[in-house]
Amino acid sequence: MICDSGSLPNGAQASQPVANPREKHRHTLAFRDNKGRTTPAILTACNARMNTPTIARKDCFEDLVREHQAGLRAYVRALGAQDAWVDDLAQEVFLVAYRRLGHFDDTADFGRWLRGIARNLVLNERRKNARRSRLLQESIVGVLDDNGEIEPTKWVSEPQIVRAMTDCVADLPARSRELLQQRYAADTDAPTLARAFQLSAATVRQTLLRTRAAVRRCIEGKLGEAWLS
Amino acid sequence: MNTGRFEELLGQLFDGDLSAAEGDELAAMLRADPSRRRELRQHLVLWELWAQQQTPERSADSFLAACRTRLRAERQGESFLADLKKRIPRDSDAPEATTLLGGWWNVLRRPARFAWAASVMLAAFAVFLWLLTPHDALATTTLHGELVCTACILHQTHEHLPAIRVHEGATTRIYYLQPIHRPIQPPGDFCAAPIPMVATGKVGTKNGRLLFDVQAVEPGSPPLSPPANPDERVLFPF
Repeated sequence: MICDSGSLPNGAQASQPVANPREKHRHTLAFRDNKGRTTPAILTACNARMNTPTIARKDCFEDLVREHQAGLRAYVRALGAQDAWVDDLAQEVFLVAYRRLGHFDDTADFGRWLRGIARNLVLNERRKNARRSRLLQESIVGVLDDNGEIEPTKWVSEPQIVRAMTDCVADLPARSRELLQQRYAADTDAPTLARAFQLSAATVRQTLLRTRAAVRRCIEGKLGEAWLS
Repeated sequence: MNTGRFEELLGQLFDGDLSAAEGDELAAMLRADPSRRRELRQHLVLWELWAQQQTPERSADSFLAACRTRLRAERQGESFLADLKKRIPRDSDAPEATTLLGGWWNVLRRPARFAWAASVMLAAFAVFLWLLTPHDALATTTLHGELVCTACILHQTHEHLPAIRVHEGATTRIYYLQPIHRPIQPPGDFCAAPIPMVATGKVGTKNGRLLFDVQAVEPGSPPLSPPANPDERVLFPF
């Protein structure tokens, strides 16, 4: 049994089925609108499949994960997750969502629903007060979402930010660009960067600070000051 | 409010170098100024998205693969673990080995197996060497002594048979020759008097008597003098 393509909304396209039955599932399920975004039909189909073979439900869900993962990970980080644990927490959010997919109202915003789950997970993590917390220091995390400032309802369009960021980084001096590249692509710490660039660790930290600030200002210039409240 | 200090603490936070006291200091600054809270959130979001773009292991595909694994683990529970245990060696191995060489290569790719394989190979090589080496050579002994007659000099037999008398300090040992296997030409009349000689051969025992399967006999240097270290025996195991 596969998702019914009869529920396609206007402008949505379904790929042609292929010989492999498993592939057939994937292609028939991958409904996307003209902008390449998953349509509500997917959610309807996934919800309808709650009592059907798990393979179909899983395929539906994978499309949703692919669409929402980047923004959700950024949201989890903004809530105060340590960079090394962001993916782990975000995966947990998707696991919870998978379990509760049947309860989701597919007329609602799926991204917002995910962010709500993420917020609850982070709250639970804070309550645990575990020695090996996956969050930043409690004092910082507590302030970050003070008065519910990181609303699941208001969130950024990450492709737009990434585009703006790519442009802003391209405008940086070559050495600053290289420093950023090394810092984030290779996850290199300041002392190692200092050796590579023949600078002091303090200078590297200072340069990174200035570069980050310059990029942030550049993005504000492109997207407006309140691109993220 | 000190902007420089705020930026310094921000940098330490991003580098994971923020102490608890500095964390409290930064939290106080953030609490006092909403624009700084926004700035921190913006930084966290920006550089998280940037890291996702720059790091292959944090790509969408990698994330999806990790989610798949966790979903599968959740769905299948215990059977997932059992399946994983079965798959671990198979996934990391090369394609099914069809030749002896291929099989060995698969074994050598794992450190623990490599250690076992090396031990087995060394032991096999040692056995191989042992089999190749003439066993006579392993027990070959050189005796420095005198050739004597068991009848005329030792008065032990009626037959005139050669024996080797070896003085080892205060001890005298008699080795009865076994000329049956390799007939020898005595280097003189061993009935008349002891003949100094050096004999090479294999030592054995029978009924408490020392036997010597002689391979070569050479004249020794008279007078026979005791060795510098009387307990020392010259052995050539190889």
